[in-house]
Amino acid sequence: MQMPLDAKDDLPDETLVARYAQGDRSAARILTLRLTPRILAYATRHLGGDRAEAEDVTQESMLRLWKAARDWPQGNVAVMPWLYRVAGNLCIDRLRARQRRRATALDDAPDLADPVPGVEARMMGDDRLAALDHALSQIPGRQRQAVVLRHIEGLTNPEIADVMDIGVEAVESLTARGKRALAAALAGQRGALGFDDDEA
Amino acid sequence: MTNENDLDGLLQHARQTAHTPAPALIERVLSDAYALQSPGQPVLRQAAPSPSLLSRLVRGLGGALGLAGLTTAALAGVGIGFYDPPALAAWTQTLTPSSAIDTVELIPDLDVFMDES
Repeated sequence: MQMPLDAKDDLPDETLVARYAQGDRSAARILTLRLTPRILAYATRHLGGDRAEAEDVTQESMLRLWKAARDWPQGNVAVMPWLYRVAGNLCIDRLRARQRRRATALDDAPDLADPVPGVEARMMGDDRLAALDHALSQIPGRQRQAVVLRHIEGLTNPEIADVMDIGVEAVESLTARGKRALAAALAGQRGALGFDDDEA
Repeated sequence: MTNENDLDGLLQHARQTAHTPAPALIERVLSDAYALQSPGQPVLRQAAPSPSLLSRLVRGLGGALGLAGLTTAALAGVGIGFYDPPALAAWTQTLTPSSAIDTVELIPDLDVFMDES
């Protein structure tokens, strides 16, 4: 039985994955429109604002979801945390590859991560977000992952523990240290970011 | 930045800012999805093949256990037939008496009735 598209919009991710595996093309479209922006945002911040690499990670993560759909354990695994985990691992792989390139070939410097705030964010006129992305790229990867998942993506600590495959206490520790490191990375930019103006 | 409220506000702002994917990315993702999917067909989950004649026969005999029992019984019968153990000889002879019955009178003739009278 075919359902109207807007009715399917309310279905949980896991149900849509099952429908996709059964050949429902509209389920593929809804999942793509629903999940791609979230994974793209997560990967962009994880990769320090590198949009092109984030798009590649997003496509690869979604591809793995399509491949996993046939054997998806219904009722046991939530789609979004699973996708965050896949995307996070792909981002870590790319960040490590960056570090290797940086260590072995200084001539490749133009291909490395842009240390200045993302051009796209500047064009959007949002220096605050660009500064945040830059500051996020300065803190350790695990702390960055925890802070982004907790404070930007809005996951609960148990969900983050599942994504990062660690305990809830470790998540709390990582997010607390990550926020302190983030505040330190942004220190001295209050004026530049306009926070002084906000208080005036 | 030392003010925690500023940081929380910045993170909240980031949370509310959507990362709109480029249409080309959506197309790439959808293209992958459709390539791994056939419309109306659960292509990713293969239908189980129908059972063979042999497997249906085995299942009809009670599965592997039934087949093993049947095979054991058959082999025991063949063994007994070949070796004819002495312990069974006395019993089998009662089934095959040495005095053979040569004739069986299914319709008694008239002489029998005449003698009795």
